[in-house]
Amino acid sequence: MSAENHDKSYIAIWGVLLVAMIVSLVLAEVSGAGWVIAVIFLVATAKAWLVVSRFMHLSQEPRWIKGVMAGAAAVVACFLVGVWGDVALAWSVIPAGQATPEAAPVAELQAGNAEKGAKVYGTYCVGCHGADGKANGGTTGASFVDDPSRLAKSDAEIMASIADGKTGTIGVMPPWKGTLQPQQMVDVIAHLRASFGAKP
Amino acid sequence: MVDSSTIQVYRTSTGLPTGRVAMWWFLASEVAIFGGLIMSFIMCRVAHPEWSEYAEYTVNAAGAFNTIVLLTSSLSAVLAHAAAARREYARAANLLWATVGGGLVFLCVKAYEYSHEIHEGFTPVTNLFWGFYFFMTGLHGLHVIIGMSALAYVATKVRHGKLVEGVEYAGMYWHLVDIIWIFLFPLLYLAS
Repeated sequence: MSAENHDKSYIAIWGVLLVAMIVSLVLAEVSGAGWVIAVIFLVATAKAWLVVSRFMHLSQEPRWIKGVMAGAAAVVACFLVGVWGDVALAWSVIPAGQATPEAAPVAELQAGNAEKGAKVYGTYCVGCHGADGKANGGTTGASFVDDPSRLAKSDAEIMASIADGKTGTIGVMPPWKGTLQPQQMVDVIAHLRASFGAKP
Repeated sequence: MVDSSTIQVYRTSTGLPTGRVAMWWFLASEVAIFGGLIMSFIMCRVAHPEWSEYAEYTVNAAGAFNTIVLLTSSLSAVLAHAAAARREYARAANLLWATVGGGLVFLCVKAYEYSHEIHEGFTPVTNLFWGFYFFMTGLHGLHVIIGMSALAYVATKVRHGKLVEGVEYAGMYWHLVDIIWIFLFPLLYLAS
């Protein structure tokens, strides 16, 4: 570390950080629009970058140290990208109007209960998919038994099929999201796995 | 007497001070901890438009003031680092104490905010938003306390020319605490 005096440049960076904060504050007071929030988070990211590179001197570190920190940031990004789809899916199956504080959010769904799921299956699904899950030899719907790939899908994928329905070579499965609550779908999936297939 | 002002803890395998390498790895793990928490919050927040009403109850002025306090304490931490590099140990110690003072002010404001919010009936179990709020700011507050302790310990040592490299390491930790707040402030206060 050189013994030169960098104090002035540190104070200048501090000034930039303060100005950036005031800009964010003013923007937030003016409007709560989506693009304003996006700008506020871009500003926050820029501030964080200034602190990391100039106060923590990451800019002076060798490449591999930068790589360690970039890797940590990548882990966080992978988490967001990987989970976002499932979260969006879980929320899409909740009928509009129920996404209020009073409605049970998906985060509070219980683990699937196969016994309850069997009752739901017996009411809504058995007509096409059959009590044995073979869909009358695969003529009235998808057979869970004869085609194991169907239950090899993730819970989220199966949930999407139940919620939104499916159009395939056999025919049309109607969407169930207006009829079944998310918890019921989770229970049905538990029943499918317990009775007709192994968990992936 | 060993002149500890010359940092003699290089490892030939990396060419860097071992403590600094360790610090970066440690901070990377902190990024994953707070990053996961913040991303979880963002996903829940997007699914709950009505949370903007709760964010109205956090005190913007207090959050903004605390942001200024932390940014300024980061400045004093990096100035302490620069002073230590110039072997101005008394100045470095004083600047570290100023940083500790900034942390103390931050905690006092945060304590006021907590009591204000709890009096209004918002507790960690009120709903998911307030659960996130108290958990994220509480975990951050814990980091503030740990950072203050590290800075204070180094300040007492560096005044006598000891543990000089610690000024940089404690400072790095403190900057991370600052960065986390840079993200928590818009998330919990501004996005309403």
